[in-house]
Amino acid sequence: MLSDRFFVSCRALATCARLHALPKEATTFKEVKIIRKEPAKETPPPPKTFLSLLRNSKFIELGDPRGKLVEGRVMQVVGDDLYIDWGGKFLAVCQRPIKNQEKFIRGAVVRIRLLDAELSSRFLGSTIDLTLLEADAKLLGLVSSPLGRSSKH
Amino acid sequence: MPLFRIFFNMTSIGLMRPVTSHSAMCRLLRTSSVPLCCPDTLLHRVPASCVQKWSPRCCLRRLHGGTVASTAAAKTALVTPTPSSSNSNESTRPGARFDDVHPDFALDSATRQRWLSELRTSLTHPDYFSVTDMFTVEDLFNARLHLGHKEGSLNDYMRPYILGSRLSHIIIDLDKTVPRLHKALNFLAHIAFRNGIILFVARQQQYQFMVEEIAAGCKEYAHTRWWAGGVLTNSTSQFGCMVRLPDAIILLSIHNHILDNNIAYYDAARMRIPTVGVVDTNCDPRLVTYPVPASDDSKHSVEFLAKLFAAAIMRGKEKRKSIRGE
Repeated sequence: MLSDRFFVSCRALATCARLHALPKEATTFKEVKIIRKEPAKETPPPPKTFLSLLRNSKFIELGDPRGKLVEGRVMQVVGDDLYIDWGGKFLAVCQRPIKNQEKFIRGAVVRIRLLDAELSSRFLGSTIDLTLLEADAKLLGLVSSPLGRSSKH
Repeated sequence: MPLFRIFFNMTSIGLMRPVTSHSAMCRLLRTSSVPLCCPDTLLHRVPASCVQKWSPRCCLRRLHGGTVASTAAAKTALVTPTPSSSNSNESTRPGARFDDVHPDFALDSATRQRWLSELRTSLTHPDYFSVTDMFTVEDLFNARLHLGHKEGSLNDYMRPYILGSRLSHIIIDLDKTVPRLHKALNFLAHIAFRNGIILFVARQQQYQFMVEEIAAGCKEYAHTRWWAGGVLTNSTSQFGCMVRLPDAIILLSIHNHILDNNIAYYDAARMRIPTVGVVDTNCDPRLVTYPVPASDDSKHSVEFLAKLFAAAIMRGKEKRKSIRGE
């Protein structure tokens, strides 16, 4: 429609807006129609169910953790080991690199490639898996550090 | 009947002096504590010989079924109470919880009547402490409580609580966790309401300090170090004197550091101390009185659950304080 192409500076639209209390955000007549169709959101959203939360979670989106690139936060540093929280159940443990090592401190955000979300396997003779209670990942580089900016590897 | 059994136990441990005060009698009993929502007025501990055939859950049902009025009447028939001279500052003294005189007799009669009637209503009310308002499923989800271990370490007794597995990673069904968490929080609040001792036990080394702080924050006890054998089962020898055992134990992890079951898990069941336990997919939930199927491995989950239990305990304590006017 021709009226769709009228903009806010158009006198006809301005007059219309004043007389009929049209929404001010509209720059064309078509937008007026669209804005008016949206109902006022007053009712609070319904409480989320566990199944819907799970379905829309990052865990499901991740899929198979093997080979996935994620960003994690360093939660603890023990010697040269960094304990990285990537959002899963267990922390990934990686060796601190020699370059920029003073920047790899608690609170630093790092990029890792996940290899396993939980290091557990069945050993010969046992009925149950033995778990190391940690995730396996390869440290790729530093994203940000509380000590300052860093170069990405 | 109970009086006869108590004297029998006393002679069996070689004590011949007559007992006059009720609480002194309790202290001389063998250290098996009566579990669950035992009203504050019922201070006798039923000796272990009487409860050999009772499971912790059976004790629960029996004590819930008994009325406060009947037990209070039985108690007053046995004891000649000696009320203390001053009402003020009773609860603030360090040893106030372990006094000779029953704390109910430190109150004036109007408050005592109100307290006794509240004790009665608290057991019949479906949600006396409104624990259903304390959290939502989304809070549990954000605390990563639904993440389980892998399929290879699944305990068969945890199968009813899991939703399923995705690429061998088990998901715990939080819709099953929610009602069990409500029951656990309600139970803890009731125990705190009745001045019970609650012990936090956690064996994850990385969270031991955090758990100790949270327990201290709600003025309860924590044991997150190496568990010496006999702490519950042989407490008199371990501590060198008679001790009052915890009335409830919160196990924030069923396993110890070598993924074997915690000694507290077995000993609490032996001593008839009810437990609230966070059971992960590789744990055996059978000896836990109030199992809460949830992850116990990430900091978010341990912190969330410990703080939630502490909040329930504080609710119980605050309600007790508001009714008794202490």
